[in-house]
Amino acid sequence: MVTVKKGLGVSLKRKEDIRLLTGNGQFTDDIEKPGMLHLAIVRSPHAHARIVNIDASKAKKLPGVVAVLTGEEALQYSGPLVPTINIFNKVPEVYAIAYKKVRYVGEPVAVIAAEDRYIAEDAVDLIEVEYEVLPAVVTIEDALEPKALLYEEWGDNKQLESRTTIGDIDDAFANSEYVFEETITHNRYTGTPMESRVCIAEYNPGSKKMTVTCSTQAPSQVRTLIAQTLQMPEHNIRVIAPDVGGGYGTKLQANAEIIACIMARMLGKPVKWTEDRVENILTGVHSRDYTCTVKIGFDKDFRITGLQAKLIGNIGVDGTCHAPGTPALSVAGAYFPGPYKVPVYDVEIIGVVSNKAPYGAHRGYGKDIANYPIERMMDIAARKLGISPEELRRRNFIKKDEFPYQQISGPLYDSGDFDKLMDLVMDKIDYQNFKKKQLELRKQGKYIGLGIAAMLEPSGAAVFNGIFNGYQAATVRMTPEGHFQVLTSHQNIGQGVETTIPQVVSQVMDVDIDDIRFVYGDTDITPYGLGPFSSRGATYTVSAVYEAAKMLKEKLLKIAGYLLKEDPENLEMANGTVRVKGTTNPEAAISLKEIGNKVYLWPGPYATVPEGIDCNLEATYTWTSKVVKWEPDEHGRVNLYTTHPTGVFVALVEVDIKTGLVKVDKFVVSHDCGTIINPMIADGQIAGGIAHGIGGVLLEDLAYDSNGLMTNPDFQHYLCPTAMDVSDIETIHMQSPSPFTPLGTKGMGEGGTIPSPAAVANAVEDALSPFGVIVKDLPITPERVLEWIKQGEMQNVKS
Amino acid sequence: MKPVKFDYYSPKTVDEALTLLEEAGFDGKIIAGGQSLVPIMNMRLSSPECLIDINQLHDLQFIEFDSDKVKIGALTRQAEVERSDVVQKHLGLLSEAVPFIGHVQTRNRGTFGGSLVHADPTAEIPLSLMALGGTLHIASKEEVREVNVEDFFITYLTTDIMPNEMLTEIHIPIEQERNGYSFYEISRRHGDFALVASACQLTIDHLDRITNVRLVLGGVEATPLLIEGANEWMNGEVLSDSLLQKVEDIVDEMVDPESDIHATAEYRRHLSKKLAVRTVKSAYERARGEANERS
Amino acid sequence: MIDKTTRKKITVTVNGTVYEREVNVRTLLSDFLRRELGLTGTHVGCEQGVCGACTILVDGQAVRSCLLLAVQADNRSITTIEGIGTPDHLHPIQEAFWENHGLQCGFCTPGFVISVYEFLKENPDPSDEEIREALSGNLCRCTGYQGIIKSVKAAAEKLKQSELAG
Repeated sequence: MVTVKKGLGVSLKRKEDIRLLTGNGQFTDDIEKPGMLHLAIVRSPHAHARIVNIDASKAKKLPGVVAVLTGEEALQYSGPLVPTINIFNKVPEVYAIAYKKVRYVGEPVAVIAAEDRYIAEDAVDLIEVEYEVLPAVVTIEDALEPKALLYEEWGDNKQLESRTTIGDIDDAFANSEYVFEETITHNRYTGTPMESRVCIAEYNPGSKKMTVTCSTQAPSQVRTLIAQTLQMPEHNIRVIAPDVGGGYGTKLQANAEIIACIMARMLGKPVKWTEDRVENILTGVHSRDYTCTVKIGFDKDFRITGLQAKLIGNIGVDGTCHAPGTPALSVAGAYFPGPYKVPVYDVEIIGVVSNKAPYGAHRGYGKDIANYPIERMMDIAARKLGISPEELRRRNFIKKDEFPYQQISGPLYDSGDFDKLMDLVMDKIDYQNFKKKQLELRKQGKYIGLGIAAMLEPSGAAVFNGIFNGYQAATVRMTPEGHFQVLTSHQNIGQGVETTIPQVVSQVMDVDIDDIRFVYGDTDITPYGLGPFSSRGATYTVSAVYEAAKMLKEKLLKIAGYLLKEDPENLEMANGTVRVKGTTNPEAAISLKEIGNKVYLWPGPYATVPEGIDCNLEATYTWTSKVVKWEPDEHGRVNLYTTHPTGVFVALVEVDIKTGLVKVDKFVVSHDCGTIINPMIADGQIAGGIAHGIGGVLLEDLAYDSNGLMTNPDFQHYLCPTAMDVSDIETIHMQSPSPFTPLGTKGMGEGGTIPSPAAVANAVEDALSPFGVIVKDLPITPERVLEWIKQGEMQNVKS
Repeated sequence: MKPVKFDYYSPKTVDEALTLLEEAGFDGKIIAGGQSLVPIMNMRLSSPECLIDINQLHDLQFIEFDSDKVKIGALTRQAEVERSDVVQKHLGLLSEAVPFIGHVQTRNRGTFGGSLVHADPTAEIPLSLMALGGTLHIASKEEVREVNVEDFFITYLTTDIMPNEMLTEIHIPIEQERNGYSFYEISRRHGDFALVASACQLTIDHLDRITNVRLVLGGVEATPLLIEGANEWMNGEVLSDSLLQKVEDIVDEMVDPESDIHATAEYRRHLSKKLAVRTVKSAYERARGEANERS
Repeated sequence: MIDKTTRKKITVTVNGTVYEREVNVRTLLSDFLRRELGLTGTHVGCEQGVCGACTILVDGQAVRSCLLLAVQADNRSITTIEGIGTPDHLHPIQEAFWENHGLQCGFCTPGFVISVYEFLKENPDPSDEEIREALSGNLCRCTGYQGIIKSVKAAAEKLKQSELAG
């Protein structure tokens, strides 16, 4: 029997897998063009220095070298990098290739085009750059002091500074039964997609057309950024993104890509830049790296009376032109209250610039920053209050019947049920039994722990004043043989859209997903729109596709009605046909193939199409959210996110107190992302997200020394989790459809990452509670664990 | 990340290889498995002018049992050592240590001799050989000389081998009756370079008294550290808490680790004590026949 | 005697086809397969032997192709992902990955499939812990390994069944 593959909520196997499994995928670096030159980039060895002189004479003489380009020479072809988003932050004057000054180790200083990459790298070694080294700003303290100024014209090192107060926070704390304050920090880390960034640029001097093939999450945005930076007409630029080997937010910018474009324009030849792993870690956009002081008050019933947060993020060189990182701090500011009811709120945010690599997006985008300090604080407070962390959270959760919930900080939460999520996960782990086992094992010198973290994942941002707004168009098209193409700018980066988007269309059209192809990755073909970032797929793209499919369906029903001489109201689509509702009579049905044939081959009112219908079997719909609010209120509050998946994550860990090694034994997750399109893919997103969370909390750390040199920019020293480090993950789903999207779907790519560090940290503290351990700086290295045990024991002796 | 230019030779015989080495002098570099060399060449941290590829020297790829010793050719792959019945039977310590090296994909290529010559002080094979004892056969155009493992490692990534010489084979005495061994290491992730590693090889008499012990620590000095004199205070003793405490104290006294990005000196010192105790204990239990499975 | 050389002629069998090429001696095998032979299914993720994306079989053994020189493949037999199965005839391992969501972006996938291919030959009935250890030389940033581990178990089962049937 042939199984028809269609519909929502079904774990259909992915359409994209066959090519990827057999080596038939095509990633950017797989593409070769005749006469193509290869680029290698000379990078700054200093964190902060003036460029005194660049001598490229030896490199230019090397056989096989075609061109060398410095930042100064590049000014003929390009302006400064333009802002990606700018939410009330300062915009620095920075260039794709450094001009006058370098501000981080790894910043491009000159570029070589050569016959192959080997020769290009030989030439890198021959370029002599003279620097005047300046003091390096590495830490937040360095930046605030200031030890030096990155941008002299600013007068300080602050790219972002804001404060929002709702209610009287001093009064709230004064009237609280309990007030706790902690300063919580997070390490700097990054996404390291297995495919690093790659860019092929071709420029035709005759047509003045630039074609850029690159590994990006956002082809339309890259096109806009290239046009603005190169000051070229945007209609002459075509951006192609083939298979993309992961992104996680780190492929949203055009900075090094600009270099390839400049070279192509200068030489009139195709050029390719392939980022190597060292470049990727050294300069690929970074995230987290913050300190956050949280003060929280509770009444006698342990209900929150007020919340105050002061967040200082270390942005690195810039988080607006090099990459869209700085606004992540503002997102954190809007989401510290998270899943909880907070009557009084005060938040201050400072983003300092330093001589570290650019700040960008990486699975979380500030929602993780909002989560970690608060979820850590809930555990710390619960311990001090003498109640269970589960109970403290339950007392403060937003209740199911309070959704849609207007959070004090501005966001409007669409739907959810935190209590039920807590029930689901607690039932699964058998909490009481775990506690018993924990005590027994401690007698044998074994320390296991359980950590809870509640999760709120704002998904699908619409951000004003930048390219990452809420504009998402989709076209659904029927072919003459009655099959469908769906065209959007939503790039496939591994999240399964070649399958899930057809599932959405199949739901409307009642056809097999094999008869529907998702077309993406070419700005000359797809409508302008956003890419997969901010977990927007199931919020924006799915909604746009769904609405466009419905529009096309309506048109098809009208045409079928005309052909069948039936009222379209009486028709339905079923298994590739349009038929009279409920009928099995073949006379009362027409296949989509036949409709296609009639429309495309026998068009017009003089043949088969009724008058008044545009016979193009295509519909385009641009979905924008009705709940986004960009007009700030008197407190400056806005609402950028439409949907909010929720969850409760529990990490189970074991800590070896002899070595300090932490092993994550298991993650149990209850999760609610509204209507699920493909459960298998949803589970995969959660698991992948958790792996990034485990990496960040236990292993991954972009380490800089006091001179601003990164000490671990390679895969031997930057520790990504392996199959030995990521535990088994068990996910339980519930579905509270979003009232704000037509299908009730919610984007859900980041939710796995957001709460996982707090769950692990809380579990480690729980495991080591006999020693009074407090988890401080991340990552939780074995060495730090031993240190905390020692500190905790000393504290115990004192008290 | 591409290597610089070099001249490449692929000699077919040991003699040919030695001639090439003689001619190349300090510019010459032998490549065997290349699992340590090629990464640093790709990163341009090593740029040999002349690469002498010894992978054709199949005569150096063997594992042989020979009455009181096992002979291992320098070019024998680590995976071959891992899978060897002879090694399993007579050199249990090596069987236990080799799976800690990198991953199966690197062990399939990396060689036994290459690991010794690379002389990373945290590496599993140098440590194990130091615990097992043995002699290294080092050939030049003039001679083949034998060096005891105790004299082989000079300092960090440096051995007794001269630029015109090549390691050809390693002879390792086989385990005695009532012998026990144990290897363990701590790394941040499985397969990474060890922060600290420990290897212990010991024998006991019919009254379970220790008769000979070799305890070696890696990652605590520029070379694998053999705890010298251990026999003086361990021989004749049965395992006891006070003996293990003494192991910890002596190790504390002898190690002199350094800090790097993966661990501080203090943490390495801490680990070296814990691992020393762990491996001594586990080797002793094995010698008594209490635990034959991997520790 | 021995002539000094920076270019060398090699003969190498890849997926059953014999190729004769002259190569720069410093060309990495990964680059040779991708650029000279156009076998772009072998991916490059770190060029320092850590990530495993470039894993191939040389004479049946899984190795990192970024840590071998093309000249070292002279007279060797290589299998890349293109030689494991085809879109119309997936290898049971590939089938298992498809059915168990063993991949997301697919960039690391060829390396995993090759590593698993060798692993299941050596150990047809592995435990979970053995599977995790066998996979630990390949990095994946998308899946959190859950789907991959499931795929390996399913692949072992499939291979056993086909063994019985065969």
